[in-house]
Amino acid sequence: MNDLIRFEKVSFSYGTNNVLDSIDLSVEEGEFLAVLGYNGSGKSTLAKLINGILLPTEGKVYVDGMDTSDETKLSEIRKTAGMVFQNPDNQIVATIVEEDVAFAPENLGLDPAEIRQRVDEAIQAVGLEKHIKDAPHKLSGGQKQRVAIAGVLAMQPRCIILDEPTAMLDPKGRSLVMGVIERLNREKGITIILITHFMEEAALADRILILSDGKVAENGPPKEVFSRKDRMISLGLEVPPVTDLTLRLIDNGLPLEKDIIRPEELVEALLSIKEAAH
Amino acid sequence: MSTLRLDNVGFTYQKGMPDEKVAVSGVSLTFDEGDFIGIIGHTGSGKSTLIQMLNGLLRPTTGHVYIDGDDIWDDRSKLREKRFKVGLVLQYPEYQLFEETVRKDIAFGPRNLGLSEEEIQSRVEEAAHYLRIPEKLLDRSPFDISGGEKRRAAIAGVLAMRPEVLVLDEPTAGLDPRGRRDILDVIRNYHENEKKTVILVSHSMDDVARYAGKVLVMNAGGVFFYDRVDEVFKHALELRETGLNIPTVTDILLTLRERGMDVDTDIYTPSGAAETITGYFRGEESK
Amino acid sequence: MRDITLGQYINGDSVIHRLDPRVRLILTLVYIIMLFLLKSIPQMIMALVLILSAYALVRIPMKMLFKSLKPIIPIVLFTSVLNMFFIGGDEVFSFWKFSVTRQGIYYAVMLSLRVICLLAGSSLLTYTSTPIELTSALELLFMPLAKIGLPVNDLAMMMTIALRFIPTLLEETDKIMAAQKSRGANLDTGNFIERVRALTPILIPLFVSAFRRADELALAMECRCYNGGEGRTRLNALKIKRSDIIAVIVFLGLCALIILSGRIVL
Repeated sequence: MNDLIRFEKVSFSYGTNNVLDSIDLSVEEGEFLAVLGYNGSGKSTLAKLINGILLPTEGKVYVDGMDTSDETKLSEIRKTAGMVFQNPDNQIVATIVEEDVAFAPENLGLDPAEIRQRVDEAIQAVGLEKHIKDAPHKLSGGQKQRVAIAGVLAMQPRCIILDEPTAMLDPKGRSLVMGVIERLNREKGITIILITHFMEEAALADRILILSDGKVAENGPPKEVFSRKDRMISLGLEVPPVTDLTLRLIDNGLPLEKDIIRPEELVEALLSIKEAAH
Repeated sequence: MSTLRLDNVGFTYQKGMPDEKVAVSGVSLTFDEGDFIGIIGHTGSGKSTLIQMLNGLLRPTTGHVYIDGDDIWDDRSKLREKRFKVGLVLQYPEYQLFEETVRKDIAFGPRNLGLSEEEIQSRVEEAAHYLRIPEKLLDRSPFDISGGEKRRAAIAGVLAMRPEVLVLDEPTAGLDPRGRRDILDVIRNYHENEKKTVILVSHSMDDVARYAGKVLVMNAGGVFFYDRVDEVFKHALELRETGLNIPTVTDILLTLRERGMDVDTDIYTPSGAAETITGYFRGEESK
Repeated sequence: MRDITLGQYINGDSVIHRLDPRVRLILTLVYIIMLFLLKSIPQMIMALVLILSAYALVRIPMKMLFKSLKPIIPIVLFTSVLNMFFIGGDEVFSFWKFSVTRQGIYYAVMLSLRVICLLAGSSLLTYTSTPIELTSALELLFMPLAKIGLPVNDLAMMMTIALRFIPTLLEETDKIMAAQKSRGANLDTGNFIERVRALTPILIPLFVSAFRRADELALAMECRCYNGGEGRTRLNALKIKRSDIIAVIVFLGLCALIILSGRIVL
């Protein structure tokens, strides 16, 4: 059993409003899962159920085998599964970057030498060494969001859940933050659950989960999910522009695979068609 | 006839202080009546400062802003009146909602214009119609509706003032794909019906390419390009070199060209790109 | 507006900057208490020299000190003059119904010097300490009160969060004002009632946003294992160093000297 996160028939409702309906889900250690769905499809609720901010009205959520409804395990669960939110301003606590990153280890009661080491490592992992003594409000949005990620990393979590972390950022900040997320997953083996509205970001994941009306509508690798454009649009989503272009080229009779989701894949495929023609 | 003309406009924050910062300098251009203009540029390229000068929220430290030939800062007593000709929707406009009902909130602007109650109500209806806000939503509290609905209510609040020029700063920020599409379609529909000038500030080249007729590319506080969309994308390579996010398909075409495929690169929509690539292979076949 | 600096901290690396903030805080208090124990002008002048030499150590230009003293000069002059006229004693000169006495003049000079020293002393503390340093100093100094149930940790956390969010909320206020002005809100004219009413479109969004931020922040803090101040450790734990002890001894010595000099001279 190497599922780090497991949902068993999880339902959640606010009053009579059913937000999630009998969700089964498992996420393996080291996996990169993207969660998509229109606003109100239950994505954020799903995220908050993972680390015990919300408890399921029915069913069970397990983090590394720990039941999230077990209050004695709460601190351990939150340490295992850290969470980053959309608005970077509203998750930074301290007036100096390093003090903010130190916040979680301070709460865990670690001794100052250990905190110092974790803070330095976390800040290095997000590439903010130059800003360690800066005031957060003077940083750009992308930098603030990386401070928030470092603040979670300092707990040394095995899984990080990110709830639309790039929604408020400009393209540059977005690509820097995505770079950090990918690196944490590939190099440190941290399990990533990324909730996003950007299809290009979801294309980087190992697997995509699409929620619709509180149910799992799709669950599979990006190549498989994105190749069905009509289905994506009916779920209130879209396909990455590369896939859109690829599907159009296929319609025009070019011999391409329909599971192309990254620009470099399409370029290579087109070049090899050209080679073959010669 | 409503044109917005900038003459050598510049803005410096903290002017004269040791930490002064030039945000915009030497911008001279005209936004013609009825155009749909997209403004793009990095954070810090001066686009937010520029649009705040268009309706007199900021006073240029150099140069002049003219609307219909009048310098908006000529006569301070008329500043408010001139400001209303340019409706500005700032980023995350839903944070400006404050009234008890959506209807009252949309009416806030028109009421400040001193219109009659009847006129106010008809403008609220009209704006709500454009923003596809259903009647039953108008009597709800603006704090009690979904994120996308809040955004549309806030935009309606500016639209109801019937500005000659509508300026929107990243109206789709933070929305889901369907929400983004909805807002942009609403804006396009408004532009086509009213034939009024629309200025859309966006980070997304894809959106600007798809919706705008002209593009203003800002870089380091100045104008980098200002031309028709197809003209600007003839400079796609230069845009990419300054680190601007060009449409994904344009990026792919540029790479193909670099790798020896002779395709057009001034194309910015998936359908256009599909056509040019298919055309290329057909041409190869017939050789 | 965004760069409002509370307590006008001046970045630096002087001997005084390097002291433990608790030491800085306590020595400032000692200095202020001393000012009230002094009874003669020569002593007061010594106290002034003491604080000015501290300024010299930090290399804060005198200009800055004068700037911060400027607003209170009229008040000092006014009360001094008032005192001069109403304290009885040996008359020096008189005009109309007033007589100015030697004791009156003496008292007025004492008072002016005392207020100047008081301000110079407390400004030095804020010039050399960041708000965060002061918060941790206060937290640690009040720690003993935690035993009788005062939530010292929580209060310090609140202080920190307030300091963190002041720039954010100022920026937000700017944005909301810009948005409402664009919708024709008239914030600059009208009578008092009208102006207060004109604030509604600013205040409501500001409060709504502050509550939303508070809510999200609380959630984020919970996710980072915050559950009250208990059991928390600190990254930069304050530690009294040798230089702190030396500073305390030297400063207390100088203060004692100033106080005792009064007895010897007079």
